[in-house]
Amino acid sequence: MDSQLLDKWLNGTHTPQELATLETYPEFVAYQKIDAYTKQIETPTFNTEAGLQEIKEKLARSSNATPKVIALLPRLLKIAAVLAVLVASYVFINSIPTSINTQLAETKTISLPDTSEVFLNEDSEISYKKNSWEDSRELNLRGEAYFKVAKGKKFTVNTPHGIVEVLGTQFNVLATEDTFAVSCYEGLVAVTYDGILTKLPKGSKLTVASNSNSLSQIAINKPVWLANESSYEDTAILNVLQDLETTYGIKVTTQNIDVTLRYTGSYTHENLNVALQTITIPLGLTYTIESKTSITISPKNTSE
Amino acid sequence: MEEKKHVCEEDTYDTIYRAHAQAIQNFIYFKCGDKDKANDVVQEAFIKLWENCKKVSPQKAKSYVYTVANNIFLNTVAHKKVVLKYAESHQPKVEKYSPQFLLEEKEYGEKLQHAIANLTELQREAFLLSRVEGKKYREIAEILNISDKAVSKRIHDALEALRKTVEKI
Repeated sequence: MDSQLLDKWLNGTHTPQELATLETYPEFVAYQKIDAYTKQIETPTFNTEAGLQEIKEKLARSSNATPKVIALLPRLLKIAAVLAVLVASYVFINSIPTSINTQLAETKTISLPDTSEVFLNEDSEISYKKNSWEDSRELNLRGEAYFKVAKGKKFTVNTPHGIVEVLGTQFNVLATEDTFAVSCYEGLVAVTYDGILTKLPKGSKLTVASNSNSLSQIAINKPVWLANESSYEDTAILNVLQDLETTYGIKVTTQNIDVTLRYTGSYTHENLNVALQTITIPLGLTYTIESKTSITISPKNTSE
Repeated sequence: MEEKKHVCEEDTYDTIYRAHAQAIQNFIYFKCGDKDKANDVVQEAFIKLWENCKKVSPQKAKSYVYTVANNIFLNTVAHKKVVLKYAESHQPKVEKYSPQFLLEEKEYGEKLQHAIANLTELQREAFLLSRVEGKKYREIAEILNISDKAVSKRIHDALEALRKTVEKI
């Protein structure tokens, strides 16, 4: 079949003569029938004016809404985001506790916001929330500290071992890994340990050992470490030497000494030689300084 | 006079809409066989035309809307088998013909319906634009963005495929 003639027919530009020619082809007769049926395919009715109206409404709506949606909302969102970040960081910073610590052979005096004072002994740490201090006078302690509490609301010291609560007083708390001792120098201190509340009047000391608590009297009116001295009463020599190690940050080695020796007295925190002498001489011992950080202690040679 | 006008002017826009909206709906309808979808696509395409009225000259508006409609269609309408219905009026008048003739005609009509559904989308749109809409090659070529020759080829192929299908028993 002549496809150019077919194109003419499809485009409606054929002459009657050309149509007659086409009709001699059996395929074309079939095409005519297909065409006749296809022309009957229904196309959906379309309401042009209603459609146009609908578009106008949509455009009117979006042109009203557009400036607000595009210009205003993101700006509000930006402001909101900045505010959110500020608020979040303020809350976050506020929630970070103030933390103060001391190294070996170092003490610090800290003034709390309510003029209470904390004297922090070596290798200790306190942390408290500065901003909420007026509402709750509460701090965490690891190590040893002496407190001079200004009168006011309840003052609480949290330690890994127990809680110490006071109103206005002076007291010392020692809370190292294996020791928990509270000494009260003025006023009344309440100590909660293992759920048991003990009230410490002025001049008494609570020492918590691994399985027994003891309440004892203290004669002095300030902890000795505040005077840059360590003081002992009938204490095993090895414990004294351990304290000496932490005070000066040294290593003490003992040679053939009697470990049952007990020491009563105090040593200074200011001069290692003097401290060593005050410990060794009364017990009949001698010491050798091997290096800046290493000391050896041995019995005094009696033949000398 | 129209050449100097801008699509952003409401008169010009309305004229373009009145002239082409229905044809574009049919064009999409031939592709998907879904009247509501076709209507949605037309409306969306014309909204696009309005939004871009500054960039589209009135002469280009028609092919622009066709292209946009076609793109929207390709992006949104799931491709499925399209069975287009005949108008109710196509049934021959009952009293004139024998029942057997009517039955045969009905069967033929159904067969053709399915044959059209089985055409490729490219063949079907070209074929229906020509036969149902009565559009000339030139116009179809413009709408589909192809050459006259390609239009001719697609319609010829469509006719041939339909004939072979309906003549099969």
